[in-house]
Amino acid sequence: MDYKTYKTDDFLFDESFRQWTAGTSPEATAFWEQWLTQNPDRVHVVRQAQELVRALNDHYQDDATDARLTSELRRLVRNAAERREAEAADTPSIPLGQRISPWRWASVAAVIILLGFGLWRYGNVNRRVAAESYTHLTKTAQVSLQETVNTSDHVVNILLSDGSAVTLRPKSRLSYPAQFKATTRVVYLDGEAFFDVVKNPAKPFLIYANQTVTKVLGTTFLVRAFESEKNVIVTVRTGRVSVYTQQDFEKAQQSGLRRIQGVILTPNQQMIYNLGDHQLMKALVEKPAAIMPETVSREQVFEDAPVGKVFATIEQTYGVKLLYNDDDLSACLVNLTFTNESLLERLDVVCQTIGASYEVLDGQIVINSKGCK
Amino acid sequence: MERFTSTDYRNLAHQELWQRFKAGDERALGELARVHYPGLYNYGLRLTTDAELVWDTIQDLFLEIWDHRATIGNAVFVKTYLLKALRYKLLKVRGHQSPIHIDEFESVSLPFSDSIEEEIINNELHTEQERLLHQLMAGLTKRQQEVLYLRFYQNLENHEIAQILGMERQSVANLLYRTFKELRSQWSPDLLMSLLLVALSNVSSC
Repeated sequence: MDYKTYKTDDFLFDESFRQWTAGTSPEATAFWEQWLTQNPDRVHVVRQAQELVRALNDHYQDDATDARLTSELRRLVRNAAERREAEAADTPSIPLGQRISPWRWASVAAVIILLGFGLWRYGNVNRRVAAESYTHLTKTAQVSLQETVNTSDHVVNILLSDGSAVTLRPKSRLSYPAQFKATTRVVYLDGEAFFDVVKNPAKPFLIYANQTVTKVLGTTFLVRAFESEKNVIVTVRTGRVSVYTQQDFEKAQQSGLRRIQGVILTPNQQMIYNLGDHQLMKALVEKPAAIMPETVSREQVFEDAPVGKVFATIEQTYGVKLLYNDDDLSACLVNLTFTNESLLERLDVVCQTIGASYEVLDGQIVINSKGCK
Repeated sequence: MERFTSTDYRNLAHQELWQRFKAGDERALGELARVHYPGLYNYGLRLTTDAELVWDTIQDLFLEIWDHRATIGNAVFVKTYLLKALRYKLLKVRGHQSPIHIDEFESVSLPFSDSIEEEIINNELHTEQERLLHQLMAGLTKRQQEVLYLRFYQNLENHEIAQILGMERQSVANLLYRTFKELRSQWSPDLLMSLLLVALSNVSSC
């Protein structure tokens, strides 16, 4: 290597030169200091190159901190693990059909790339709107459904057979089976509702609402889908939610595609689906608590409280009926703090504390206890 | 699979890390990401001023690779692939804000510096060398700035830069040659003083 003939920019890409300039290698420093004493006529070029390297490094400097990098990497590994689990859960419910051609994969990849920034346009305008309406869906459902219609001006709470809680807003209706199927949990919504879904990766929870399908494994989120409105809005408070257009979701199920084109939402993110131009937009929610007031009042502290009081609060918070024997439980005092737990998580905590058990029966919760002595 | 610590992952050979990643080991993905994250973030900032968008886009990028791990090919070109994919995504986002074709890249306003006066007024430049460099950079086209960046900061070879920018390898070589010729001819302390004076007089005349 003949450094004597090097010009400024040749030095720029010499590793040992850069190490010397950055001060990261004692060997490089020793070499270059010696080389300079032997080639005093090159000092000018070398100093100039060093200044350029330093200036370029400064110029390209960014604000990434180790802490931020670490937290981004943690987030990534967590999301990757979640996806892997979800994939495993997806496989039985949407079986792999015919072998997927490379072209199909290419189109999936292309769409997913677009998804990254949460905004794309649907090319297909031939939509079977009628087939996607609430009335049509609930009539043609394969299982018998029951319906809750909220004609009042306050929210109505519904407890589903898996323990998931739904807070139905005024002028909204929800259809759901008395007992969910073995593989999926499907409900139909017209209007607005806050969902607190019990986690069960083996049994995805699906909400059909105004041409969209929202799929979750266990989380809390809000769906606003009035058939009279032009937008469907899904807002996530905790966990991870996938939103698809109903058309894409069913197409994927029929053709056996394992991964469906959709938008994935994480906490404080929001998806807006415009029914006019079939556009899905992902956005950030600045104040999710304001959008989901149901969750604000859920932080509760109990100190040496009779368990009956805890149950009464749970009944009030979730609008569910708890059946238990007051006399048996009168001696039970508990110390508890609830923050983000779901209904069933709270019941788990309470029952564990007082050595009781519970079961969900016909939209009610029955507590079995021998009492506290 | 036996328990691995993060140090174990760091010491894994490329090929083995890749095998683990393909087999669905998310910590292998984490290690791959750890190696490439700083460089990707830095590159992202050359393409948009929205730092949060860059963080999110890199996150999405790695999750996509994760989703396609079974069908994804070779580990050798990972860095080039990631840089190219990130660039594509970020330019596409910008395309949505103002509908411009990616090919018209040079006419798009980039955070690659535009005006030295502005920067000096912002008082963000601390040394004379930095001022000079900004001045020189502002004299380069966006394409030149990006090629210089990929060559210098990302330490890529010409054919890799060509791949990322969708150019011919020879065009990259020519462009780099021209860029360095300009830099070399102007990068001297004498010029530095004169440029500084010009820049300062511009500031006072504003």
